[in-house]
Amino acid sequence: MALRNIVKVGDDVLRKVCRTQMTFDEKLWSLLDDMADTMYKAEGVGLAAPQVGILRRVCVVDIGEGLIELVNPVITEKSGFQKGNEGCLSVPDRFEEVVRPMKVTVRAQNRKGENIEIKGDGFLARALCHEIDHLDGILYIDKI
Amino acid sequence: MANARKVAVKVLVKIEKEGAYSNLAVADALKNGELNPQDKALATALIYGVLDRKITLDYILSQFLKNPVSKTEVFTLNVLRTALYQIKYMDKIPTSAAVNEAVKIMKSSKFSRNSGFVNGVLRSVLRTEVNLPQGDSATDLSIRFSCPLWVVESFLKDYGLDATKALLEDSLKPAPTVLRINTAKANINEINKDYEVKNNSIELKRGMDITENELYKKGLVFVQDYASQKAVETLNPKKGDRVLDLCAAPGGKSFTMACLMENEGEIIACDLYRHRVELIEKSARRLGLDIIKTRVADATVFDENLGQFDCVLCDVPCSGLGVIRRKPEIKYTKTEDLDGLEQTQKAILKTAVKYLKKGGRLLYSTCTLRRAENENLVIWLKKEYNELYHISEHAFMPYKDGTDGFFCALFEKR
Repeated sequence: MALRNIVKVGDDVLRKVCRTQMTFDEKLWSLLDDMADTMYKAEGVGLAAPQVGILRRVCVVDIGEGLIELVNPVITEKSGFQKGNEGCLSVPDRFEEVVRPMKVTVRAQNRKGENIEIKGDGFLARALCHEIDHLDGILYIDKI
Repeated sequence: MANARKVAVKVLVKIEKEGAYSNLAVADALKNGELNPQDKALATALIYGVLDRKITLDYILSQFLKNPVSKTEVFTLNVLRTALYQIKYMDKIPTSAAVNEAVKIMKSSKFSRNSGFVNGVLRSVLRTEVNLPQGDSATDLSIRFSCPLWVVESFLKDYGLDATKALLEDSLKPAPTVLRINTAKANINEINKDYEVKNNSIELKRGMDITENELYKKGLVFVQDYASQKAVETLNPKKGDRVLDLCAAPGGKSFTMACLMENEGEIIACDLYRHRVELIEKSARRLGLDIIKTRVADATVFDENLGQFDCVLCDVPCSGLGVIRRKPEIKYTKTEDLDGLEQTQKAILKTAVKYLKKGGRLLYSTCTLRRAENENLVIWLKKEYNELYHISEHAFMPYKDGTDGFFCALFEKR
């Protein structure tokens, strides 16, 4: 187990567009493991690579229904909308209302590079959108 | 009378003449008849099949009839439709059997003079290949997918061509029977041993009689589609809440709410008709959900004595275009019938708002896919009531969500 430092808002690294992850090797696996550990330790429900200073299209999500690891995720479908409070491990002590889709379908790869598809609704849809935004340098506070 | 095809024709005539709801008419006919299980299955398949494909069947028949289909005598017409359905869509029935049985039914009926006509029409159907129109115009889609023109046009206007085609294709596919587990009483792990449990639900194999199911008899499950379950979950009533279900029958959403509340609190389930309220009462007792109290009440009339509620559910009467795969006769409602619908929906919402506590939540839902009854009504509601805060909204599409077509919008009173 290795914890990584969570970068806070104001750091430029959170504002960059991440690069596609091309290799699915031990380096990626340890990044994913560390990110999961860091997320659980901080009691978050999601964490994106730029939040630990790595500019790769990688994120992890766990809303209490099991860990989801996403490499190169893309939202392929969204529908409906929901309004609700959101927080971010990189923006401490703030909760603001953000409008997100009610349902999303995400296409991504897993840690082995295999294609996967995740469907999420409600809170999971919110978490997925939030983390995928990070990969493009977008923070939820931009959406208020 | 123990002839599956004849039973099917009689039910079809009844539905056409009296507008009986198909599932009720089917259940009734099968209960009284002396059909064996195999014949029951055939009769059911024929009734739903003909209702499903009526426009397509009539289009084919019209190529062989001198007079318009609408002028043909109803009993004779339904014998023709039933036979044609077997010829075109049931590959296990030899075409000769379909024709011979049809003629037999005609001969034993009071319209025996038409039996030669039926024989003639069906023989020429067998000789000639009829191609269905393959274009994308509303009329072509209507004939190909056996869906009335106004429904196709409504889908096209609201959702565009691709979605319309997907919706129409799905409307002809069989729908799974979804049973939600009564989590207030059942142990999911126990059920998981014998069934595949997904999202607190199990799916029943097609053609199985629910009332014969062990879990159903024990009151451990009730029928409810995934979309309705999700809608209730977004409303999310809590333990101890006071909840009002304004148009509750047959009660599924009240039951799910009672489960979410762990059978603690109070749910008042209302419906306009006594027999429908009795239906809720009976099921609630079977399920052991005793926080549900039923009432015969008009949802458009405010009753001060009921007090204020934490959650109000308005599952309003609607055109039902989201559930045509379950109730195909909804396709054949007339557009005129829809005129008063929006007024009723608005009236129900107006009373619903009065019942809401400050901070209370209101769920508006329909089982239709028409903007006029869904999104547009939400816009109206927001304009009318500033104190209502619009939390979420979702339109469930059968081809995307694998549910019935369904719409729900959640509000909070501030």
